[in-house]
This record gives sequence, C-alpha cells and structure tokens, in this order.
Amino acid sequence: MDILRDLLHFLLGALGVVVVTTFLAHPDDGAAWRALPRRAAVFVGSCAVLALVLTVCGRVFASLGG
Amino acid sequence: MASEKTAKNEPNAVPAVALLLAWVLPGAGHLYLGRLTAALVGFLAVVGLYAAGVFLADGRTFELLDAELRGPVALALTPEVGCLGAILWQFQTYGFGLGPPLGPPEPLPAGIHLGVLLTALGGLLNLALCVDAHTAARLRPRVGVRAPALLVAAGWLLPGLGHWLQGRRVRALVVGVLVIGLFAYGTHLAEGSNLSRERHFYYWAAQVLAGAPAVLWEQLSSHAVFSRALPSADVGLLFAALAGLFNAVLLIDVYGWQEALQAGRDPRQRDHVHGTALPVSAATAPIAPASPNVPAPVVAPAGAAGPKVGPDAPDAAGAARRQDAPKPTERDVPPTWNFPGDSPLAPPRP
Repeated sequence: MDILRDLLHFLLGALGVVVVTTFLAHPDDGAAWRALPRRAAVFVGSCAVLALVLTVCGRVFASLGG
Repeated sequence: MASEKTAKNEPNAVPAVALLLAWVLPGAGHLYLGRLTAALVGFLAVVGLYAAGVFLADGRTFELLDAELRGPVALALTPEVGCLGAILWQFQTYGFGLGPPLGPPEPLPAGIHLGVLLTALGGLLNLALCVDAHTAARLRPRVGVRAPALLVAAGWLLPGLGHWLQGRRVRALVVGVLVIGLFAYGTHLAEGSNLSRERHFYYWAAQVLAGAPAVLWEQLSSHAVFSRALPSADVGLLFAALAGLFNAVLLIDVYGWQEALQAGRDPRQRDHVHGTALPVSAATAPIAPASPNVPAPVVAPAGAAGPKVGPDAPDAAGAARRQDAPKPTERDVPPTWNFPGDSPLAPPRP
C-alpha cells in the first residue's frame, strides 16, 4: 500500500506542477485547458523514464560495491 | 497611488533605478518617481511592520536558523530579503541572535512567532512596492486598469483573488482550490508540525507565500511541541511548501496579464519567446498618448519629392522591392520609446 500512496502523492504533485506551468504558458483559459492533457502526459512520462533510468542505474552500478 | 501625476514620472525614469532604490529603502523608488504619497505610505508600512517584528522577536529572528546552515548568504532565501536595507540593518545589529555562544540558549521571547511573521510580511510588502515602482517607471497608469502590484498583492493574500479581480473566474477557482487545497492537505499530513518557522526555517518561507491561509493557520495553531514521530511530516511539509511556491509562480501570471492591460496590449496573446504580450490589432488598439521621446514620422508633402539625381538616387528595381517588402510590425521597430503604448506604429492622437 505504501507504493500506492506514494504514487498518489506523486500524481498530486505532478498535477500541481502541470497546472501551474500550463497557466503560466497560456494566459487564455481555452488554450490552457487544451494543452493540459498533453503537458500532463509529457511530464508524467518523462518522470517515469527518469525513474526507470535511475532504477536501472541503481541496480547495475550501485550493486557493484555489495 | 497609481494615478498620481508628477514631473518625474516621465520616460526619463529608469526602471532599474526605481527598483533598486525601492529594494534598498522602502519608498525610495516611488520618491525617485516623484510619488511622494506612495513613498511615504510605503515607507511607513514596511518599516512599521519590520520594526514591530524586530521588537517583538527581540531581534532574534535569524537565531531560528539551524547553526549548521548559517553563513553570509544564508538569509538570501528569507522573505525579509525583500527589504534589503532592513535585513542588512537587522543582521548588522543582531546577527544570528544575542544568545550566549556557550552554555544553554536563552529562551525565546513570547512574541517570537508574531515577530518573525511581521518581519517577513515587511519584506514581502516591500517586494510589492519594488514591483510597483518598476512598473510605474515603465508604464503610464490607465484609467480603469488596476496597478499590477496591487493584484499581485491580492493574489498573495488569498490565492486566486488576483485572477478573480482580473475577471478570470475559472482560473481563479482552480488556483484557489489548488493552492489552498494543497496547503491544507500538507498541513493535515504533517499534523500541523509544518506551521513553525522555528522548526522549518526555509520551508516556512515557502509556505508563507501561500498567503493568508498559511499565516492565519499558523497564528491560530498552538505551535505545539511534538514528542512522537510523525510518519508523514516530511511529505506534508513538502506539499505545504509546494503550495506557496505554486502561488508565487501564479502571481507572475497575474502580473503579466495586468502589465499587458496597462500597456494597452492583448493579454491573451502572449509572446512565448519574449514573454511579453503582442500588440492589440489596429482596429481595437487604444489610442496611445503622445510622447516627447517618439519622433514624429516624416511625411513629405505631395509633389515635394522629385526625382533624385546623382550617385545616391534609388533605382526602380530597388523602389519596387521596397514597395513589396512587408510593412514593419511593432516588434520590428527598435525600442526607442519608453512606454509600450507609445509605439510609433500606434495610431496618432486625433
């Protein structure tokens, strides 16, 4: 359950980041709402890729000392 | 405040100078612009808040910072840095506190929590004055358009209020729910342990950017001392600080919109490259006031321009190319005017 809770917290923070940056980039509400789904997908996808890379690095390099 | 007309509030005013003066000494930026009333009110408000805070806290505001974090630039992330003169004076006078370097620390004064809040509010208020001075040095006030700094201050006070006053109701509600909701959820997770500058010196500075909800919540809390482990304290602290930082970024959106309105531009059409609003179309553009800095376009009288003879005479092909060339837009014109509304391409005053 901890991983689920952490995932929900991540999504909550990601939602805030995406909404704020979208509002800043698009002063018009209509354009902002249209851009929101794509921006959210890009942000969450990029974070997932980064997490994957870090996990792989952790397993490959960090385990050498052990 | 914004409607004061003075001799100094002309294109000769340098915005950076107004900003720096306001940063160093509250009200000095407005004094430079010739706005005496605003300068006096700003000075009294900022210095009053700051002095009251120092008095209540016995000048021991920065003693709350952990000893291992202290250094020459440690105070650069505090809200008090919004008033450079005051923070330098306080640091020069009190340093990181008057407690003895050895032995048990002296107990903090009873008014420490309210005191550190007042000094922080003084710094934030002076930031708003800096914004107002810089804007006033660049843009003339327009009838019916509120000063950008005023809406920024409103947006800080209650997240979403700045957008609401601009008529952007949906965005205001989203901002309010996002910032206040995130702060409330973070405080709930941290069980209120985040509401203390003594406990979280830097995170507190981020949280106070969430405005009245953060300030009031802290003042109404008991500043309890926790003797048990709080499993979600760090996550809660993170969300509460994020709420304040989000609000700070959204205040830029409030400012950008209002600045575009004051400059007579369409705030919906923001230039993403330069971060400024594009000009309103000629049909809807308000008539710009005349400025002595803008050279009047030279129009030759009919029949006066005869054919030029000599080495500098333009050829026919060149003339045709010049006629086919696109007309310059406002962005192509070098910024020789100080007020965006005074563009040479704006329609002349009737």
